[in-house]
Amino acid sequence: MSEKKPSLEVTEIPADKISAEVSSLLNRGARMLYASGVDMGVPGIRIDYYFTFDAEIPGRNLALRTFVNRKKPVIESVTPITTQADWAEREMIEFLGVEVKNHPDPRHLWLPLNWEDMHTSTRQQQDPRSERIDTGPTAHPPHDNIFTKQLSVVPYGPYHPALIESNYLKMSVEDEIVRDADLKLGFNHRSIIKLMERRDYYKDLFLAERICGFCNVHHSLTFAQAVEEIGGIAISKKARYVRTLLGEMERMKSHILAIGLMGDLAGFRTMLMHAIRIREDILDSLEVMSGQRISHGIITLGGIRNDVTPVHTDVILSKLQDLKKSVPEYFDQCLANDVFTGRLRTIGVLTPDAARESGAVGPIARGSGLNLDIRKNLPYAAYEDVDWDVVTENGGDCFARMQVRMREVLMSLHICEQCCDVIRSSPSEPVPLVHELPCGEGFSRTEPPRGELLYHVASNGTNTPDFVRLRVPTFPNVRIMLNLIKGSTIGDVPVIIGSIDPCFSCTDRVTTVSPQKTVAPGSGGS
Amino acid sequence: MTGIFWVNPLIAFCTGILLSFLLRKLTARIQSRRGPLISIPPAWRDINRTKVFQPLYDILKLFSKDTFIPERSSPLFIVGPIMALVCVALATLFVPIAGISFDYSFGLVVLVYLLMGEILCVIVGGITSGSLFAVIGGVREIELMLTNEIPFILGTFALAISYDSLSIRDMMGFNLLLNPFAAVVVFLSILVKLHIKPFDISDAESEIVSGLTTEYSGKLLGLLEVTKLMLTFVLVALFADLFLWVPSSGFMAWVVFFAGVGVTTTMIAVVHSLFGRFRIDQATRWLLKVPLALSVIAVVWAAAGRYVL
Repeated sequence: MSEKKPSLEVTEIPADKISAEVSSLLNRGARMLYASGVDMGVPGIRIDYYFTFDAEIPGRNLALRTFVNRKKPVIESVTPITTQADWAEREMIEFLGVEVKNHPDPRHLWLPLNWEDMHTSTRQQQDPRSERIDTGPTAHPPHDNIFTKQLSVVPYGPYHPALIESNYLKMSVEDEIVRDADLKLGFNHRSIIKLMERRDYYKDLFLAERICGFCNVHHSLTFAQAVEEIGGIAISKKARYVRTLLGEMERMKSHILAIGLMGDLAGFRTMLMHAIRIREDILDSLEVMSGQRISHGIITLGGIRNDVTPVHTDVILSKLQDLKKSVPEYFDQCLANDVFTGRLRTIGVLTPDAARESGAVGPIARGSGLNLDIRKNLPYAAYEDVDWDVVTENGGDCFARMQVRMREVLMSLHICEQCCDVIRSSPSEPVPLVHELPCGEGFSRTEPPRGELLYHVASNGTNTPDFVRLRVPTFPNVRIMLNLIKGSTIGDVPVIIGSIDPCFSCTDRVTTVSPQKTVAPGSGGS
Repeated sequence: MTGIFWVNPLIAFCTGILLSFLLRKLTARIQSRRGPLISIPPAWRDINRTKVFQPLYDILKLFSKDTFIPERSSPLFIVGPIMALVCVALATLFVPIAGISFDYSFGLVVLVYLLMGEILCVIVGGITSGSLFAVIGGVREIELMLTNEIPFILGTFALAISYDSLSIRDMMGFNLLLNPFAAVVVFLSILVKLHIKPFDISDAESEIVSGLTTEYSGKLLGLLEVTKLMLTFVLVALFADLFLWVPSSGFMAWVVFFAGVGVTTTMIAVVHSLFGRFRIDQATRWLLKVPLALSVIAVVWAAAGRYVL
């Protein structure tokens, strides 16, 4: 493993050449994954732009790295070149205080809209010792241009029946047609990235699992893969198959609930209830393997924590047999309902070009006909060894996205069966214990149910990571959701949100870097 | 039996609670939500049991709560639900409950106006609350009402043509076989008026929080719930009276009437749980297509039966 070439190829270039390099990479067919900064202390703020080439199989991960001055961090925006960098740069502005020049929309995404006003308020605080928040009107109105339009503004959230998670979607509406939409995140801040930097690697696995309730296997799996790359830890065959099995079980679990929720958002409550009924078999299988229904805690560095015996696989196989009957039956019943499918067809159409340009990932990209699946593009776990195929649909509308999910569930059933057969006959091997890790960086990408997950972990030789950066699939997809909402009617908004299947808590929890604190000098891992 | 028609609102309220329970129970069973059985062994009583009067408890809870009145609302916010309740209570007088009704030769016309008045009162009360969701809900409700009232009126008046009378008591009979088109049309209109699933657009929970009733709370919401219960009963009883054969007096009248009401509610519950929700433009287009065509056919059918044959 250790002699393998690193999964992230880093090119260090000066800050003023970033724009030219980004556009040349994009012209060569690259897709921008993410951009993120780390305060490295003496060398300055390090900014990484992550790229990948989707056409190449197996894929290649590139990073453009640049350093900017800590005292006055200024960088030229690449959002005018590609909109894929939009939210990533807004995140940098907020959490690292980097001044991104020429950014078209440098408003707050996570912090409160009147954040500047909170600190620079001219009002006298009556009692300086009191911790009470001054709730009076702010000196300046929030820097938010959506309110200035001559249209009705419909708020969705922070608490709204359509969006179970807290976020705030504002829509300017004219005669039931949505003219403009804006999203405010940041209601679920948990500082998980910062917390990871002070826990050791084994504890970080559990912390990564808590980022998302739906993709928890993939979060711990991706973190484990990144750390295994740093340490050059080999994984046994059985562990690879068990990881695949867990990932696919999770995909089925998430997709079936997403399909049910889509029905619920279109007013078809019965569909949601039956989705939950079918899902029980999957949750039972996961409980058999790991002892837990939601957060499994089974993936560890170098393998899996508890063994999966032939007895377990027999139970799982019998459950899979039941699922093979009930799942297609359920899907047929959903698709036979004309009122329901009529709500989805030709709604929220995302053309393949638009999907490619805006950097869509996961079922959203595949619903628009893009052949984009990390399991195929950059195989991990045992995906190279099992028989499966990428599912794509050409419609690009909400119906196509739902059909991608439906067909992926059937594909996952097929993969799970193969995994169970292999796990039955494989011997158990001891899991290597990781005592210390060398200095280095690990980079890993996986395909959770909602799209592409990215972890970048750096080790500085101690028992805690130097930094962890991650990007969840909802991060690029929600930005696309806003574009799809514009121009649709109010009645379609919940359906479009449901077809994107966003996970706002995921998106919120990862975006937490405290700008005041700095990494101790001399601990730079690069 | 016409002298005691003033008991009709009470019967409507009590039966409405049972009908609401039936709707909830059937929907839950179709959605595979398992609850306790209606009759369980005495030893299990402490665990949990089905509460047949749960709709009543919900309403009593609402009446025990504080009522919040939005600052920007007008007095119509309070008047709206009260007027709606008055309208629907008056409407119960004109619907024969096992033959008990206020016998009036223009009963059907008055009933149609009262049912429309109930909807208008709820709309007026809702949109004066100043909530954006209520306004959107009100607009949708008006669009639905405009497209739905025509089939409803044509469907019921087809029977009036057949029997040459506008009194509901004169029209009672086994009209399900005599004029099946009218039965279908009236059933569809009842679905729209009650906001049953394909047509619950004006209080779509996931789109516009709860539409017209978004700002209502406490006792005013309780009034609206009572109105909803009684409206359910009025429409279901109207369907049973007009299309299922209900005798006009005697013990069998009560049996057949409640059986008919139960059957109609069961049909509504099945429809409620087996459909998604229309978008407003889809709903109006469909309502202008299918029920309107069927109602015209029903009228032609009735006229042909009356004058030609």
